[in-house]
Amino acid sequence: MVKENDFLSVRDLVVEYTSDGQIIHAVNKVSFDLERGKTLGLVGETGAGKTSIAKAILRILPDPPAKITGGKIFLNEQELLGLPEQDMRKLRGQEIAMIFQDPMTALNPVKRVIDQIAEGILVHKKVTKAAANEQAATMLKKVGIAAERATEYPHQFSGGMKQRVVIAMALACDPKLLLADEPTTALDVTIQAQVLDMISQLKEEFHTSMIMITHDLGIVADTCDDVAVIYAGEVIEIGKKESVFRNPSHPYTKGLFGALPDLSKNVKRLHPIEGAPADPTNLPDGCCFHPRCPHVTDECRQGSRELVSVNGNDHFVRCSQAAVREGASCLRW
Amino acid sequence: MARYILKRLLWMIPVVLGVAVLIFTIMYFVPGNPAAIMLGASATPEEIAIMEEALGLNQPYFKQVFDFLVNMLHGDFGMSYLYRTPVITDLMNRFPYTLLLSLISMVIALVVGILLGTIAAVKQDSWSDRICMLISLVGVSMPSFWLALMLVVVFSAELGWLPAFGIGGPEYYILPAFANSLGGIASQARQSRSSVLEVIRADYATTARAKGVSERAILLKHVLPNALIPIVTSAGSNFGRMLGGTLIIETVFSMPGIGTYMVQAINNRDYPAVRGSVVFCAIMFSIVMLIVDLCYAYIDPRIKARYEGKKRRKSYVEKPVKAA
Amino acid sequence: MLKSQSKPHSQEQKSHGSMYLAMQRFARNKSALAGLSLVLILVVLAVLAPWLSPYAYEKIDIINAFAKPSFAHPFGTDDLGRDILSRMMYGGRYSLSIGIFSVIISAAFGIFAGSVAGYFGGQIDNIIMRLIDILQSFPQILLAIVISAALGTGYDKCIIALGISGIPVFTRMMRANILTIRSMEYIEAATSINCRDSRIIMKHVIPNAFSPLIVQISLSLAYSVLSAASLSFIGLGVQPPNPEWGAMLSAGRNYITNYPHMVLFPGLYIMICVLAFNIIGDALRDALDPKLKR
Repeated sequence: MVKENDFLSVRDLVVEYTSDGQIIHAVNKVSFDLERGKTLGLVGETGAGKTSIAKAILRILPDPPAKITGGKIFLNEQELLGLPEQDMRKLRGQEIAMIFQDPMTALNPVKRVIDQIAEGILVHKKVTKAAANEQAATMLKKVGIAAERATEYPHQFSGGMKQRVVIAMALACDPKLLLADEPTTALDVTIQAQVLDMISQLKEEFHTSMIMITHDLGIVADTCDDVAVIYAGEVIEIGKKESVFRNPSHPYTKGLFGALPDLSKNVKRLHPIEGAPADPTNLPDGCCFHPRCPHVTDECRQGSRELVSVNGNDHFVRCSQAAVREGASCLRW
Repeated sequence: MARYILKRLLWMIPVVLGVAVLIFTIMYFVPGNPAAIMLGASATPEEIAIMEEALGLNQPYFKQVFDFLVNMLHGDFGMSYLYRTPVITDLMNRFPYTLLLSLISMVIALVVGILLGTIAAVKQDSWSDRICMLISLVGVSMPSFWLALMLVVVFSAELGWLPAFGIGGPEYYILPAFANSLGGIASQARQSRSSVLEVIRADYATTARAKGVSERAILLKHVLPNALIPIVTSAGSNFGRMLGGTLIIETVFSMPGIGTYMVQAINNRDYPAVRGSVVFCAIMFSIVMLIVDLCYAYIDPRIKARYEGKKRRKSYVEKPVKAA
Repeated sequence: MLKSQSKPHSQEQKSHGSMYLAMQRFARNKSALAGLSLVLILVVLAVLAPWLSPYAYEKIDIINAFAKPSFAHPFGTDDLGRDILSRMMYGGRYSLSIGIFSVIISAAFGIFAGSVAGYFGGQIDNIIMRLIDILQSFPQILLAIVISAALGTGYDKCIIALGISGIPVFTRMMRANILTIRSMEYIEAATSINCRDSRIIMKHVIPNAFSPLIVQISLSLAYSVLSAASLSFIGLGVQPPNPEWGAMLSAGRNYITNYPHMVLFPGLYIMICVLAFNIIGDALRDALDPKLKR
């Protein structure tokens, strides 16, 4: 059921890693939609599978260990997972672009910054090297890097500036979909705000759709329209940001919000979520969260959960208890 | 950059002096009387005494070292006991052959080795990878002089295609170069493979993929330039191994280079010749190391920056060295 | 209930030390075991040569000189009719022991010098590293040749020559390890909880420097055996009639046109021995590489 406005549709995506004979279930039947011009936040702990989802959309997962073993991805009604590699390459950088997490290692140390941006342009557009360089320089200016610095090497920039170069590289060909993988995690808080502002600005200017991967709920509040909570490779709660934030329904989501320190309250200890994250090589039966859930029942331990609505079409949660509690109506997928 | 070059050149001087002192000292303690050896068994004690005087053998150790160093700086390594000619003349006549063979071996080792290693890395865990690595393993374990002898048996004795000794046109260098370089090809292939493997999974390679760059372009423009850096770093010591191998291979093929000269000198107790050969080789080696260091500083922009102003402490993390 | 009983083995494995895991990885590597068995076979052949070899190595039999390989003489005979196979087995005693003892010398002095240089730093470090620079300004084999030329020929002199020429490699490696480890955060952590220097060395520095060292020792063994053969080949090192492998190659040189078997088999034997050490070295490196740790 792909709506008209949907720009990106992911259906039942499954990604597995093989390591030393063991299978790691990184992504387990993840589905979501993204409208044109909107931002979806993917929230979850480290290792929940968020980066794998993004890399799967671009099909740049490292092939010996990782494999996409199921699902479909529709970009503007074109199915991506079945595309031949050549066609996929044409989309990369031009239609879909990615901003990586660690700016320190994302840039080639022996190439000048302007060459790295121009490379992306030259791959997709038939222009001369000089024209590509010019476009690259313009892009750099947009992210706040002066033209004189364009011919320098990555090691000559600070972390924040390196990340801006990465952003410039991603947006150089004016992509329709931007995958931002924790773009500010490696930066300190003051720079974080600047970088996020810049991303929002550019997004407005180019009318780009964006998936923002983060573990920081504050960033979600600031930048996203919709949010999906990922746990153990599954979408356990998804909906419009306001609805999810006002009414977190899954026990895990509640736990995430509950763990946030609140300056207005006077508490001695923080409230973490009990237990340890699920082991992706050995996922529990039934609901993936049930070993840690304070409201677990026998029903939770068996069978798979469906997404049920808690607020019309705006907010869905994968929890049988929520269904009972909120008087579940329809399924989404 | 100029400062760096100057610094390295100046550094060479104490090292070369140190080498000379070391070699002189080692040879100083060799048993036997050089004067007696020179004059032969029939010499009388008086003749020996006169010769000792002439050679300066009666002087204290430090004076001898000093004289040796001073002479060396004038390009004088003394007279060969065996040939009664200045050692330096012999060395100058012979070193082109040694240098040529060492350089040819090194170029072959670099080109073929890097090629094999890159192929093995790109096709990791496939049959081509396993075969390349097996050949490399065997190559590193094979005594080069044995390979040389076997090649002579097959190509000279049996087939008569290539000459077994001497020098002349290019055909005289084929067997020696091949025998000498196989070990180098093998070790270079192994090193290249691990270097390329490290880089091919690097984040910046993934970034390039995400931009839509083709795998081939990634290999040529992103992976290889970075993977080659550690290879260039160790190119200097690789040359050292090639040089050492050349000295021995020369004896197999009776090439008139420094190797045969030195071995002969050792067997005949011709100490000035031995001293001169060794110090000369050390100087040759140091010069090549210097050139390699300069290349390295030039291709890695991070190092270039270091010597153009910024100060940073170098961190040594060395991986185990296969000295074969 | 069933879930906790079926807890996978991985839970228990986590309590074993990294050395144990490394040895497990080594044991699982088929080529490593092949290399190890090969070395053991060669050692056994060498040690038990007097009893296992078909003939005495010095037994001269001129009538049967230059015999091609046959059932009676699997590797043929040399110019004096001596059985090459027996000589190869005996030769193992020389080559293997030269390799082992010279590496012991290199490692002992090298590790000591490198540790001192790395740990104390400053002027001591400077002096030691300049000396090492000088030693390393010629190729390793050349240094061995010079020392050998000075000391003379013979078994023990060969060991000393090879031992000294191998010191720089170990010194540099040990020093690099110590420097890296010293700057690691776990040393800072240990110092910050007031750990004594000696305890830091014993519990943190040495175990972490251990892995690359073991690998280097194995690779140096391979190189040593090869170098010993090279030295004997050019007339230094062990002399004929001792059946050292390089000396045998040198003696057989003059006859290669007509009797290549005299050179073929000793060389193959050397290669197999060096190959075995290299295989073990590689397998050790793979087993101990922390990047492969689960």
